[in-house]
Amino acid sequence: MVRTTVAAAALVALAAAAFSPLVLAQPVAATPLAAASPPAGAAQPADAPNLAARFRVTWTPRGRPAQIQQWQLQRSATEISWIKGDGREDIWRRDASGIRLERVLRRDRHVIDYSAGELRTLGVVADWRALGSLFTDADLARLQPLPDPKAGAWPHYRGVVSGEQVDLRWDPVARLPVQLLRRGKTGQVLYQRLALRDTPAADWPGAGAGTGDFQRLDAADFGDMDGNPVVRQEEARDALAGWRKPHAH
Amino acid sequence: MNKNLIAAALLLGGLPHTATFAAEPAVKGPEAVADWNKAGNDFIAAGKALQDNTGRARNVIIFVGDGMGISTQTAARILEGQQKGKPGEENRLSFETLPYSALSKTYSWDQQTSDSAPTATALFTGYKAREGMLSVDHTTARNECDGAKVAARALPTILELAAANGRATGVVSTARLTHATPGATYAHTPMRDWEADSNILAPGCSTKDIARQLIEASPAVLASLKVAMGGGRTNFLPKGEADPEYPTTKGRRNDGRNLTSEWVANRSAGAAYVWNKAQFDAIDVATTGPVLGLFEPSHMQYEADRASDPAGEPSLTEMTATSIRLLQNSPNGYFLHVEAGRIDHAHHAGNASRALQDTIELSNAVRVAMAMTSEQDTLIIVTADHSHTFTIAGYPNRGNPILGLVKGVPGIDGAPTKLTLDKNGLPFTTLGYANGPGYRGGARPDLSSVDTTALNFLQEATVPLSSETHGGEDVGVWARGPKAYLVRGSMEQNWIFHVMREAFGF
Repeated sequence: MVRTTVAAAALVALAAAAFSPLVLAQPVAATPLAAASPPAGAAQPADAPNLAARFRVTWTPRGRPAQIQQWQLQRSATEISWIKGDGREDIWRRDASGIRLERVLRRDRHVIDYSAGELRTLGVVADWRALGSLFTDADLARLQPLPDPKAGAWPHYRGVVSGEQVDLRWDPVARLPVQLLRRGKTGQVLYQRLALRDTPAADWPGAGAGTGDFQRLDAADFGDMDGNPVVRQEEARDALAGWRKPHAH
Repeated sequence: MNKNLIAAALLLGGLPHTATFAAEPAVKGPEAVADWNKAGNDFIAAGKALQDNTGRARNVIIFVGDGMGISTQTAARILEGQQKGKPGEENRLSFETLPYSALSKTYSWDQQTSDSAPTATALFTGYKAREGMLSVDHTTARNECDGAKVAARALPTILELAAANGRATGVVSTARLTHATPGATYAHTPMRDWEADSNILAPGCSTKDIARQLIEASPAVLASLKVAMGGGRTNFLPKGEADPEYPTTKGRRNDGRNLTSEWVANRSAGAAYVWNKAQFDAIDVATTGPVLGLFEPSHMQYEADRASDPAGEPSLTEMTATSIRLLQNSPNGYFLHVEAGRIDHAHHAGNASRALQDTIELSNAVRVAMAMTSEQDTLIIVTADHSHTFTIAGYPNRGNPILGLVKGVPGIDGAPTKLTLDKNGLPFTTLGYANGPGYRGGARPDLSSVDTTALNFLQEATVPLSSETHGGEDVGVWARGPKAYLVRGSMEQNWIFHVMREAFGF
């Protein structure tokens, strides 16, 4: 099966585009075609534990002021949701048909549904573990561990991933960064974990809440809706994120 | 010409020839020399024996491949043949064996290259209409919210006319049942997007949404409609109600109505609603009343992906067969519309493999319909609503994988085939698009080590667009049965309705 490679490295690379990469930073990563598949019968890595977390995400374009957002993650075996600070939410769900996406656009009062089949047709293969971890196992393996003089400090890694300098403080139990810095030609993105809980706090918003009266669109219909400004906007964002594009196979 | 020369030429066609190649050509078709002439003679003989069926049709079935342009049909034919282990070019899809054919002009009242709404309107009402509108005439205003004005401009559809004349009716699609093409058979609306009431944003709009029009059809249609199958459950369920297959997905109706329940409650005895393969398989055509089948919250799966559906869903072929069995119970005959609704979606995504596999599935559905009906009393028409920018190019050799890279015929017998290269020394695929997400940008990619036959491969496109567009050229029409001979030459798309009406005789 041909797979795409749409790595989290797009975070910084996308800074060159008109849209803020913060709204596009979605680690939809997949095993490249050239990568070896696990041997038959090999155990698959276990899912990461259920949790809820908050991050401060600071995007600093080169030579320009920083932009700061607060992101919220909720993760379970069947659902991973990201609430971002610009009114956009990505809710990934996993079932027998595969992985599908519900994208909430609060400012546009729209919800876009990407079925599992549609994502496959768009050439998007989501890495479930990476979706909820901000970092893929493959990318983690590319980093070099650093010795840390402080006892009990979070494991520290550095390296180059997809052309970007990465500095990572990693929580191996939660399988989440404590702090992740990615630096590229056009700027840098810094994720700082602010909170980690087993379940969201009572005052944390729920992803998708209050969208009952939003317009819902099926991404499969985009081709027939080029006159719709929300469709044009989202198609453009998909393309910047590396979707709706052929990839090196 | 000298008669002796003519006789000699005719005789030559029947003589076996021994190949005298200096070396075996790397590419050889399976035909013997005599096969060409024999096939031509057979074609002429069949044509001479063809007798126009001037009788009336008891039944009419119209198949629509949404987005199935000529290049799609050609490539699907080759792919199907290659899947059978043949070179492919000599293959015929089921509907390519129908005796009558034509080209259909798909422009609408206001579009050179049309969308599915006015094209479906043309097919099902006999009138060309405006972009985005279903079965209303071209004087209808965009976003017309006055239901009375919409009603005044409603164009009777072939389904409605069949119902009014005592036929049973049915509509089947792999798209949402409320999507443009199936929707045009029973609904009248200025906006194809008004599939549920939540899509109608203007307050106080009295134009009914499409799903509601299916349930609140005229008494004649309500009595006639024996089967309606497709996707689009959420347009029939109230807000907050969980989808039975994907519980986190909710219904979309603001009015709180559950139209699937209303179908069962308001139709004749034995009416049923099914939403998965097991329920579909359990339909007893002898005892089941009108059946509503909604197998996905939105569109049904591509045929290539159908096996992965959690609840299972029937194929287009299975839905067609069951629909015909249900409709055959009607003593007065029937009208059935079947749509392969997702060829179009796959092309918009720049994904030829899914588009072609859905086309092959349409051919399978037509084959079943041909087997289950008699050409003496059933008119079958197969066509498309519009084309796409899909192309078949290069000089690939006979039997070259249609989804693969172009390899030409070697210039020297005995030489192996090799990739055809562009000006920069790079290979290219036979299939491509004029526009769409397959645009690579900058230098062309080196596809030498790429599996271009893979299901998810996006063929290259010339103009970068997030979604590939429709194509404006004519599409094919194929027909057999009563009045099928009226399908001929260059047709305006709306004339296809007139053929069906003439066949029914009303």
